[in-house]
Amino acid sequence: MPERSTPQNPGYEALSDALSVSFRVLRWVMVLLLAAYLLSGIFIVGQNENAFVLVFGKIAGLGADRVKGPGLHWTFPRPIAEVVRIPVARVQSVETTTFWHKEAPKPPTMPGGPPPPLPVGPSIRPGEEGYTLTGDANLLHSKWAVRYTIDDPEAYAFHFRYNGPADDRVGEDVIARELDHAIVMATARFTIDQALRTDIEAVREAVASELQKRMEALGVGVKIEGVDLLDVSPPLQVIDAFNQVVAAENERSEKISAARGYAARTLNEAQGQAAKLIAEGQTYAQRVVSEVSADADYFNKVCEQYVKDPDVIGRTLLQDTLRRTLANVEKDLVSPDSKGQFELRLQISREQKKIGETK
Amino acid sequence: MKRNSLLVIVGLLMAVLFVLLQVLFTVREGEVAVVTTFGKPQRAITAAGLYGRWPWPIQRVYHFDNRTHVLEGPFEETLTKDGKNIIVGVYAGWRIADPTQFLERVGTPEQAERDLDGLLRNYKNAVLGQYEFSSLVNVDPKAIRFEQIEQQMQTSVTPEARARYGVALQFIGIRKIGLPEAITEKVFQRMRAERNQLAERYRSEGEGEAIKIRAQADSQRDQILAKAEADAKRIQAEGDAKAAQYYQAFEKDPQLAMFLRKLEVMEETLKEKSTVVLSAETEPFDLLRGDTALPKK
Repeated sequence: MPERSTPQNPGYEALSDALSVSFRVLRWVMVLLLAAYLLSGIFIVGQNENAFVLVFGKIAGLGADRVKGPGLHWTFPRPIAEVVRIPVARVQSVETTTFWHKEAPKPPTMPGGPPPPLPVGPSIRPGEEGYTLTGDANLLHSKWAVRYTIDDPEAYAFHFRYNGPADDRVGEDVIARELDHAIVMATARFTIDQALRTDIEAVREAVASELQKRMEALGVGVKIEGVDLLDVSPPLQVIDAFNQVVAAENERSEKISAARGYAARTLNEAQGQAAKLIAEGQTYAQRVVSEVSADADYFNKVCEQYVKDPDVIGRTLLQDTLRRTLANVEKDLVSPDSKGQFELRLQISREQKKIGETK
Repeated sequence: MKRNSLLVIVGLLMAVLFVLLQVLFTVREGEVAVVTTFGKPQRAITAAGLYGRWPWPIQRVYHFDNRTHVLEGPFEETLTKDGKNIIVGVYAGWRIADPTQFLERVGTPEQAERDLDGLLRNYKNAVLGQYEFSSLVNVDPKAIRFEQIEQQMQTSVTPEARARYGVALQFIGIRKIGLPEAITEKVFQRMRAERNQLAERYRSEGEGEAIKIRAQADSQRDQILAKAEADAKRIQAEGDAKAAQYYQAFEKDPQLAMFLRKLEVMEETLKEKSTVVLSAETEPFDLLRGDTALPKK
């Protein structure tokens, strides 16, 4: 390169030096970029994830190797390979409000005031509000959710499509619709009373088993963990009639429990009364026996004396008795009768006086 | 020289990459592709992987999402066999069965859904017209023909969808059953009447039950009291009987017994406030007459 050594061209030389330096720098940059590019093939699968590696669009590996478990992995960098992550261990859920009525517009916050009533028309226009038909041809609103996990990641990721904005909930469209389908089928064979109050659990189980059956048949790759009834309501148009039934039922149980209370009280009282009657009977019997036996004892004693001298003992007894009895006399009154005889009138005091006080 | 060789290498690499991009393409898992030569479909690719082709404008590649698409069918009125007006909404799952045919006849998934929508509409109404309302909604689960209806719709739509559009219909399900607006109003009237009847029944049941419970309680109370009275009488009678044994003692001297009894009665009687009129002959008041002598025996 004779031009380089030409001293008449210092500008060219300077340029040449600068180029040579930048080429060297560029080379190192390229090596670094290449290294970084190769390292970008390293990826980490999270603890609740599984991943597929697509090499040129095709799942890499054979058999169980196709699914990459949690840990550190390496594959070819983009665009040769692509990593698709599936959240297998996470419980996901989908909610459906297909069969729910219109929600009330949020009332303006006024303290203490009741929320304004829903504007309810006399009928439901199709498509405007959702409902299911019950077995007895009534209308029912309900709101449900399903919880699921992914048990076949390959089917889940590559067999079903999601129409929503993000493609990361691939099976959701079909799951949501299958849930609706199961709800329609299940409620169609229960009465509205069963679905609203008496047999909610059976309806829920019917929805869950119907859904599980269909999901297995379709091969969506998910396992149903549970179906939840979030809310259930009769149509707003007739909700007052339903509330009346509840009120009537409460009234019924109130009446019955009041009657039960009366019954318990009555029986307790009757038992108390009965116990009292029996106790009185027993008291009477005891008294009668003890009195008579005391009389008999007394008689036996008196009789012993009496047989010895009937007249004296008889008189003595009589006098004693009269003395005891007449001790309570307050006023003595003696009046002669027509034959000049006295008639003795005694007035016995109202209140008995003690013997000592009598004059 | 090094600088030049580096330039050459970079340039070559870029050229190779450009060429590769023109002649290679990938089909991703869950996709199908159709390769056309001058616009004419030449081959369909259904397995994922790396494939070669002639560069544009000779060959072109069309990619289609081959995962199951879910289509929301029409929600409109139809008549059942027994002349009931109902509104049934169905959904269907479909995927591309024949990519070449799909490209030629349909072209895009959106168009496919429009075409399928028409098919679903026809067959849905035809199938539902063969069943009665009670086979959709019934408290007897055995009378419900849901699965049969869905199966029949699917077997009707499937061959036509396959033949006309290259689409495989995978499943059909009923998602909504509704009633026309005017009928909902009648249903509400009936529901209200049913509820009122039920409320009335509960009220009268409560009344009746309460009366029954009270009556039972009253009768039980009467029984208890009657038994207690009888028991009490029996106990009293037993007491009387036991007491009667002691009366035997009085038989030794009935006269004395009677005398003592009289004394007792007199004493008892005079305990109450009372006025007694006695003859002055009565002992010991005969003394008041002035008799001092001892009574003669």
